[in-house]
Amino acid sequence: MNVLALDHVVKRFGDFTAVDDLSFSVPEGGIFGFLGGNGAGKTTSLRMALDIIRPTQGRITVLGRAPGRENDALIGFLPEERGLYRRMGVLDTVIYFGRLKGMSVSAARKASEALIDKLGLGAWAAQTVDRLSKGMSQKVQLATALVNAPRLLILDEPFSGLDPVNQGVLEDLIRDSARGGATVVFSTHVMQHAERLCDRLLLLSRGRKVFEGTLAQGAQVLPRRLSVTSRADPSGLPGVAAVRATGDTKNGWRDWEVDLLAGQDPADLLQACTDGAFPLRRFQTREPSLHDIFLHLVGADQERRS
Amino acid sequence: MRRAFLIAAREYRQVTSTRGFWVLLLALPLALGLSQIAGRWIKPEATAAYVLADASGRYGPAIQQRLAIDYQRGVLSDLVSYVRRWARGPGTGALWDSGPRGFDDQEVEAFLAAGGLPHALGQIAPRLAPGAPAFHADQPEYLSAADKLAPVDQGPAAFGAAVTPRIGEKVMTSAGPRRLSVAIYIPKAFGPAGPPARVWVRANPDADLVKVLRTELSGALRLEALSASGVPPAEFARIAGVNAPLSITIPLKDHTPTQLLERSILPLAMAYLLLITVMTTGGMMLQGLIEERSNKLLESVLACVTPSELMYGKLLGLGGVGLTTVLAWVACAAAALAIPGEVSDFLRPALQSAANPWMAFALIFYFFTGYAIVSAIYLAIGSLCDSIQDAQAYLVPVVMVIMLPILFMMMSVVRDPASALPHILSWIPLYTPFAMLVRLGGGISWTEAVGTGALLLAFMALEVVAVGRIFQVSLLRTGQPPKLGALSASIIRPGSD
Repeated sequence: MNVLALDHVVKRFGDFTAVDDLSFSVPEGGIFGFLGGNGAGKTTSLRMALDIIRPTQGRITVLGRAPGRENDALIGFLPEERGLYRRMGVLDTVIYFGRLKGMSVSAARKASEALIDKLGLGAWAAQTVDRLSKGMSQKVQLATALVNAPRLLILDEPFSGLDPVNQGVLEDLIRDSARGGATVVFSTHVMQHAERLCDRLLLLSRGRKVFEGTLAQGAQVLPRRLSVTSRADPSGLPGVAAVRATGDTKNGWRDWEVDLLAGQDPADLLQACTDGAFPLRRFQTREPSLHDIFLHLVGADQERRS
Repeated sequence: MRRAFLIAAREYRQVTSTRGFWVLLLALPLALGLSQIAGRWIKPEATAAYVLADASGRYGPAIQQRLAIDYQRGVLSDLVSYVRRWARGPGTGALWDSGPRGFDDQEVEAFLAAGGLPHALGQIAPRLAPGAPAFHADQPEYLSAADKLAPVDQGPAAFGAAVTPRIGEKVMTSAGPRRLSVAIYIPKAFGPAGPPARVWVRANPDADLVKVLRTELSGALRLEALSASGVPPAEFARIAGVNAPLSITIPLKDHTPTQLLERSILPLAMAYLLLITVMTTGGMMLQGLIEERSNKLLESVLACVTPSELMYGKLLGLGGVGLTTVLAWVACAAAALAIPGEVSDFLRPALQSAANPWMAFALIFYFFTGYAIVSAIYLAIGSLCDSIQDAQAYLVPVVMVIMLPILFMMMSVVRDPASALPHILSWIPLYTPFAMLVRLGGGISWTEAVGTGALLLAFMALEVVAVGRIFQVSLLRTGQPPKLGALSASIIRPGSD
């Protein structure tokens, strides 16, 4: 079952199209990454899923029904731009959001106390938010998203503004939530987090989908790159698109960066080298990073549109 | 609505935890308390002491008698007003039951001969309406000093030299110590050709006292002159006692200016309190909403509630703040009533008007509709602005548009209760609650009440829809507030973003 599905969704603000014919689905369970540069339409898409704004066209399904307040009890949301009531107590803040999501007073209190302890804020529970550091405030905000033990946890740029230690804490919390049965959807433009966390990815560029799938599927889209050490120039080998020498010749051997043609399997090149007695001392395939995939897909898309 | 109530409860707690709210809440009780204290301790002395030295032995008693009669005339007039306001049932035909008019000396003497004020109050007591305050006669303006203070038979210079240092000091009178304000000396040879009567005063001479002195002394001198020319004194006294008959009529018994004023005090006070409360708490709410916008927490809230729920919650929360304020003030007024003094005397007849169920309903209805209408405007401004500076650009013209006509109207009503401005503003929904509150004391026709009420409720409904749409398009917007044209378009055609 899909917990979130967008079907040909368009959102326009006046003359500006923020989301353009976007379709994708998020299956239940696991961590889904929503990637894109600034202005790609990530936040707008998430806001539509949360019924904060309505699409101009298309259909959205969240947990099997249209977006609306009926889903609130099952959704946790951490917005990109975060803030809290400065004069409200830490515990009261988390309870308040739990109550807004339909929890009873006692359930909200119990869950809030447990979460605050888990996040290391137990000693600050009675303090007002304006006495907390920025990192602590962000933990409180995260607690407001998690208080209802959501089935769908939506995090919009959750790592922005966090120091490396707290980024690690948040990554653990996201993994814990996913292990606990929640489906986590998070948007980011920092590829390393997505690479470490996501089971599936959606890449957006200027409101349009440019890729949806796993990291491995993304890697296949990108022409493969090899590092080889050979006596001869490999540019004449079958399936090679381009080569670059990366070092001087030593005892007749030289290092090369080899770009294969799109869809070319490195194993076919290795076989061609063996069959053709092409001397090799090193044959190393380089797995493309998400950063590479992103730059390739988004860059190509932007080049195409411009 | 559950979420709206949760938001209302949070808004209520937020506002009531601010210092500004407590200053607002305590301002009226403090003012009442200070008035009570001022009434008791800072009240200017109503009665001054005078000393009258009559070296001739011929004029003093007549002057003292005149002062006493004039004082009793004032008591009798006040008693007539009191009876008209509070006594029920058929009249007794007594002087104090005969309606307001200028009582002559004979009538005042008859009143005193019948037992004066104590006797009259005993007669009136069984006819008093429930809740009628006790009648308090004003203190006499002048009381004679119990002691002579200065020699009488050594001439005006010696008298003046002795009494001058005592002027302004407290001297003993029949009602206790009072400040000596006037000293009068009538020389032994006082007369048209003799030395003048002398008066020493603490400040500017009291015109009434000078008039009494001049009238009594002139009358005595004329009597002596007429006696010298052969007119019998009894005949002169008879002629001097002739008074022009005078009848005063107040056509509508229920609409004496005093009663109209008493009935208008509470509604007028409510109109002022509404203006003060809504402007103060509206400002707090505006600040709260701008804080939510600038703190970037609106998106978290809007992921849990709809913009309409947020708006209703805020309006309800502010309504709760208004209700708390009014209840606290009513409690203070009730407490003030229990404490005898100037404030309770002022409040008691004013609060009597709220005993009428329709009046009470009208007071509550117009207070809360006025509160909702102006609060919604503040909410709309708060939803449009990222900072107080941005809000000021909207607030200044809006506050002017709201406040100036209301203040003009209140001033015009104080000057002339029949002023046209409140009647006109009654039909403009933004001002209807204020105008109707201002006019309540004077009475409003049913047709006008129903017509303006229907218009007011329709306007409120439209306003709530419009503010809801402004909320929808504005809450997550960043940057400059939208232009009026764009704003109007989004109100008229929701979803035109």
